[in-house]
Amino acid sequence: MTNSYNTTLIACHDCDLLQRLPAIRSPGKVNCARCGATLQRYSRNSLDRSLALAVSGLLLFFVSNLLPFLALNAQGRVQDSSLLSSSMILWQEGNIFLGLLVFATTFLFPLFSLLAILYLLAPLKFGKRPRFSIHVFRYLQSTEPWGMLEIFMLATLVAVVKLGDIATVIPGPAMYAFSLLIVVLAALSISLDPQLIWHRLDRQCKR
Amino acid sequence: MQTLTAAEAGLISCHVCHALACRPTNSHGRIECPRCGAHIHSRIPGSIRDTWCYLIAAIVLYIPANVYPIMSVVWLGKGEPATILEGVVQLIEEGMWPLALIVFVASIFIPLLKMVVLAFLLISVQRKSTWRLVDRTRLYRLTEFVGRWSMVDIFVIAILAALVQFGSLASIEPGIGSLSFAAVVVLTMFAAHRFDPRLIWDACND
Ligand SMILES: [Zn+2]
Ligand SMILES: [Zn+2]
Repeated sequence: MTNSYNTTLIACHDCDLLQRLPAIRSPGKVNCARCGATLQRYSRNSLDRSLALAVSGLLLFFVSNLLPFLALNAQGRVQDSSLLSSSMILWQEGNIFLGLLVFATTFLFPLFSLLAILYLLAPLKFGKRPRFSIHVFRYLQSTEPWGMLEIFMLATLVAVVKLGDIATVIPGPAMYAFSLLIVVLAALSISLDPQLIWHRLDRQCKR
Repeated sequence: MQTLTAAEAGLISCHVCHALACRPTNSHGRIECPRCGAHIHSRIPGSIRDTWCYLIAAIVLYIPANVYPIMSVVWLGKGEPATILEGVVQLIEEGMWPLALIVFVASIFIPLLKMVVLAFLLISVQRKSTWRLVDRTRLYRLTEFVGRWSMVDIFVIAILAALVQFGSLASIEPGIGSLSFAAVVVLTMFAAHRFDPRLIWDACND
């Protein structure tokens, strides 16, 4: 089997059309000429920016999970809850599938993404290639749709409004950190340039 | 516009790193991407069969998801379980229109849209239709993008359950409906992931 591959051409992942990539990388998107799929996304200083966003994302992630998220005040009784308590309560009540699903989508996968990005980008920044980088990057790309923090945010708003008539809901400090985290994660997904990372990994490759 | 696909050029595009590898002439068994080592294939093997399997499983589970209560709110010892649709109606009756809209779109409209679109795409691919290729590809991307948002209702139940957990005043219990509904969301996500949109375009390359 030959070990060669071509990176000046790209095949659209949605329609398989072969096309040449622009020689000059300017910020923005490259779309497929036939079906309009986004083939590549360039952003300026992608590596530095993604690294900074991933570090702040990780800090916000810990703050969001360690501090109280929401408190409920119903007739003088105050009930605190943290981010993780939503999956814990499902687990405790015997809904193992639901508990695992909520735990994985709101804790495990987002945490893994942030750690994986740091693990890959920090060494690459200094021209080093981390161990198992290819495996880590592959898992990072395939688990991406399963991190659902932004959906959890919408659910929080729905839950707060729903409880509005029967009890007072007090947003905890983690709520503010969590809102920021959503913004940081959105910015991170825009600034991250997978093709750049593959190129860097190629260059560092010692076969 | 020249239209040469990777498959016609004897190349395989890696779904992970997008490198283009040459297809070996004696290709028996698995081919690995020379760059990232993923198992690569010109088209997802068994794409149509697998997508149908996930989709049919999702359609079957969609029935208990709507018939059984998604959660029961027990308020001061009494309360009744509600299905997804009853939940939406309750919200409308309480005048919470924006919430009713969010729950309706996320829990009823999106799952139905996704299942109908996937079935339509599968049938049109099997019939080798060349009708509106670009629009059908867009439709696929749309279903892939919006599918995750159906999880909203599951998260709402989890948050409500956590908030009122120790309260003797009220308790919120997820029902069989929510379990089936979560399974529907996960299965349709698998189905969309397993569907290979390049099959849509193969009809015009033949
Ligand atoms: Zn395309
Ligand atoms: Zn690859």
